[in-house]
Amino acid sequence: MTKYIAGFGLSFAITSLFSAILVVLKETNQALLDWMKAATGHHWVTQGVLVITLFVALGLIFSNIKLDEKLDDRMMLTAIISTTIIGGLIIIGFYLIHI
Amino acid sequence: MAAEGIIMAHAAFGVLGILAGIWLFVDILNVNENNKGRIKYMSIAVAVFILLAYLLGGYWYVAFYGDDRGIITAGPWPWAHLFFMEVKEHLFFMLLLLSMYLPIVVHSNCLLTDKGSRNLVLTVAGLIVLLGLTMEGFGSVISMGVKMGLLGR
Repeated sequence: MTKYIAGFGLSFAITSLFSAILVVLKETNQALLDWMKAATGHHWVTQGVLVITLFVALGLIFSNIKLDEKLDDRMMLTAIISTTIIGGLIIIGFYLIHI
Repeated sequence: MAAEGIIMAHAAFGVLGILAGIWLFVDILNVNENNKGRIKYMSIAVAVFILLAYLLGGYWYVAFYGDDRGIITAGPWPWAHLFFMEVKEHLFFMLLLLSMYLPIVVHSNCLLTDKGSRNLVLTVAGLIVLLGLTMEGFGSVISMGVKMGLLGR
């Protein structure tokens, strides 16, 4: 595994969970939702900017701290699958409850 | 007319991203010296198609979706917005991030010799295809929500 696969893989895991948690936070906190609307004109656009910026920034940071020496393909695979499922369930569960 | 063109392009680029993902998945299962270069191009194609679907869908959502949302929520299928649209617009970020990650995994790996790397690419591509199909399915429910709302008027 190279440093970029490890760095951006871990970044994906963290950012996808961050994105799911941000959905719950903005939908339950009016002040946060208002700030996100004011920041770009639309809360979803702000979320997109935050998510993409965080993914790239964390990816570059993690790529330079030799994570590839501590992580292997199996660990990365587990992290990507589990955070995709958990993040997806957080979003689906939240809107199922609030439908 | 512009709105219809944008939303159709959004769906079309999504489908192209899914097809490119399937293509890459099959190529990885049969990786060899001959398709090594094509796999790299296809990983970039997936990222570009999904990015275009995101940008076009995002622009349509912000600029034009408000009227449709009113029709859906006042109609017999309000959950087409309250659940399907809300989940789609937020789940899409994971699809976008995976599509950005795919070329990094493909270009940084020695796919011919490393089975672990191939499994990682297969997983990322597989998740992209699954999430992409989910997005397409949710999009059709949202369209039906608008239709049901208009029929009920």
